[in-house]
Amino acid sequence: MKPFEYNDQEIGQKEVLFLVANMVIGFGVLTLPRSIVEHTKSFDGWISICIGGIIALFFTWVVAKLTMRFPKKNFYEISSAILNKYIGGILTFLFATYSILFVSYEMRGVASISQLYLFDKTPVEVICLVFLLVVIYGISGESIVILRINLMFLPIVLFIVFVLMIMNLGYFELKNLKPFFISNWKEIATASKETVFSFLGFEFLLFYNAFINKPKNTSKSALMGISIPLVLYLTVFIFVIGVFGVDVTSNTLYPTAELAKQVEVPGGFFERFESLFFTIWVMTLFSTAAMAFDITLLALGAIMKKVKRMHFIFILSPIIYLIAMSPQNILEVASFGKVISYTGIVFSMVIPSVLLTIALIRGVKGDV
Amino acid sequence: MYKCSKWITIFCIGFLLSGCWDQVESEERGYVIGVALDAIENQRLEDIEQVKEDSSLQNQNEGRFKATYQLVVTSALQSSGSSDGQGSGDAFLNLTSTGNTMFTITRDIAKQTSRAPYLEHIKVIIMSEELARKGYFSKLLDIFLRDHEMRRATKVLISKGEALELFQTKSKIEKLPVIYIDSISENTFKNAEMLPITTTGDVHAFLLSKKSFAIPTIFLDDQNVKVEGAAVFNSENQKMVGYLTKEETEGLNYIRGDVKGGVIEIVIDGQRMAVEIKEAKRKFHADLSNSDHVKVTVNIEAEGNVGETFEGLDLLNPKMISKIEKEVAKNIEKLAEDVITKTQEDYQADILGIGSYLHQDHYQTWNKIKKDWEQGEHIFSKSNIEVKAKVKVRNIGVNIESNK
Repeated sequence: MKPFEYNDQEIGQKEVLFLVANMVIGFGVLTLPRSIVEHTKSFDGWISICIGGIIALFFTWVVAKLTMRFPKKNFYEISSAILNKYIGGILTFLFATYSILFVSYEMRGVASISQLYLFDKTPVEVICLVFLLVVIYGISGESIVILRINLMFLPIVLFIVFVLMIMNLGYFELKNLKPFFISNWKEIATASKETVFSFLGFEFLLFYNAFINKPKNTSKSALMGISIPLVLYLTVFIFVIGVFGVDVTSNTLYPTAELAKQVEVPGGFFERFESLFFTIWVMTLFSTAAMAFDITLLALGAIMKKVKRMHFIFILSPIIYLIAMSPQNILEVASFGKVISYTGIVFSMVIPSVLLTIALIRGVKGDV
Repeated sequence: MYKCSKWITIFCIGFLLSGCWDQVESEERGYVIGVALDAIENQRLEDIEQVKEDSSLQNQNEGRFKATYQLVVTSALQSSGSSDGQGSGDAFLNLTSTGNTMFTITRDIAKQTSRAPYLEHIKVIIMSEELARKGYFSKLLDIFLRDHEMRRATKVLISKGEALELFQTKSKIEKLPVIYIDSISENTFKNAEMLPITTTGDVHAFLLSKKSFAIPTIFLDDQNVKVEGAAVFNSENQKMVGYLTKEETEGLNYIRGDVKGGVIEIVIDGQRMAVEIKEAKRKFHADLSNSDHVKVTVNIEAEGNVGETFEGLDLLNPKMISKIEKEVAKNIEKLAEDVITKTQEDYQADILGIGSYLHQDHYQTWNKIKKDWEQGEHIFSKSNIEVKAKVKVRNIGVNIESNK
């Protein structure tokens, strides 16, 4: 028995579950119902969410299988073992670039949406800066800190979504869900693409693998972790369509946020339920952004072992800030998001599958 | 290194603790609780279609719309609670401004008040009939749907006559006219002659679905505010085409299944009697075998109590009860049929919700006929809509007879 149980650099299976769930839940939920309905034009979008979820479950399994072959190894070590050191280095560097973009996008998302709904006069730049400073504070310590914070944040976030649904029960109209089974497979397929994007994030397990103490059950926890966003997305989608109907949903920029605005409970305070909702929503965006930043540091640290973590932070923060500020309007932010999503597909699906296949063929294994 | 981090810390503390950028003290906000929209003059307000063609209108700086914002005077609200309030000023302040777009008008209002208008708590939007008839309904409401400050639960009403007048009425019950109007419009659970509350969110859905719709109307009846009847908007250009009387509105509520409570007055054996409707459900059934001639059956099932009788009727007699039930059903059918004829013939606007029903339950057929539903072939106007009402009297009150 150790004097202080948590004084180690390891995470258990519970943390894996929470980290995957928290990483996946992010900015996407706010726009997801609209991006689905834009394609399916009916309630049939739930099929797309399920398809997206199944794809995500499969590739999470691939990622988990890959990491389980190489216990306590990070992505750099895994890819170096399977291919060679140089390709591994390049892949890790690209991964770091991807996660930098990811942080920037998440940050910009936080900033634009909180400006729209909470701070009218505060410039986006300032909101972004404050958020970045908090994220920097969060990651200046050990990676393990962020992973443990997830345990605290996720239940609160899920709780507020639950409250949001309960509060909107009165506005829910079943007839808004009709008609269903009217979309053709093509529409459902294009909508599924959108949903796959919102399931990205599990690929970060490739790095956090190094912290997992009992890697045997990683795949189980990771799959459970990804089921949480799946259920969340389905409920949110059903509620948004049930409350607003298809036409309004496809015309609202952030349907999920509007759901929070819809809430009207007599008594004054809850007339502004959206401020409460956003405050808590920022928590999940924080943990997503912090983990992504942390991954950048881990990736770069794996290649350049001599540079200190703090120095990376000092160099990267201004870069991240500049990238986050570069899109000029909402359309550019959206296309920025698209680019990240496609890159995410490469890192979460293509590369892990290729690596796993090669590892299986060549029989490469990490030492257990 | 230590010195450097100390300065960074001090900078961060100064930066982060300096307070909220958007801070506005709640007593410094000008809470807007209602907006009344009027046209300035008849001549200057043209049909919405013609606006872009006549560029000279854009130079007119006087504007064509008049908006009145009702602000709460918080101090007057507090002082009048105790009786010593010497200057018994109104608890509200009406600010009127004119312009060509709502946004400029809103900004213009800010010039007139010491407290910046804060629109997050708008309860009611009232638009005058004239604006609605000229097709400005959706245009002027755009800002209330687009702006992030707005809520989706703001009530929308159409006024017969000037909307501004309604904001000047004084009621003894409420200090603020808008709150008064707001509370009246919520009484639909007691009276079926009022259309259920229509919010900006509902309007948004209507406008996007390209279907006809109805909005509750409000008017001044001898210095009294009355919410009654409905204004009908067609689907084609979203212009107001006419009114429904209170009876027609009641019929409409039965067809739409929106009746939460109401009264049906009947005559039985030469005696007047009021039956209180507690609950009413409706079901549509469509026969689409001939898509040019749609047959729709509206089944209404209502439940109610005997509320009032003028003369001793034997209410414990089952025959009597079934007689009452049949009579009430006949009344409901009549109400519903009247509104059906009116919407089919006069307005050719399907505000009954039959189009939505076909869309939801008969999607394939709807896809074929939706273009000709209200326009083109006018299938809606040609369709055969039948009403069947069924009434159950559950209770007769607590005494059997009150006089003998």
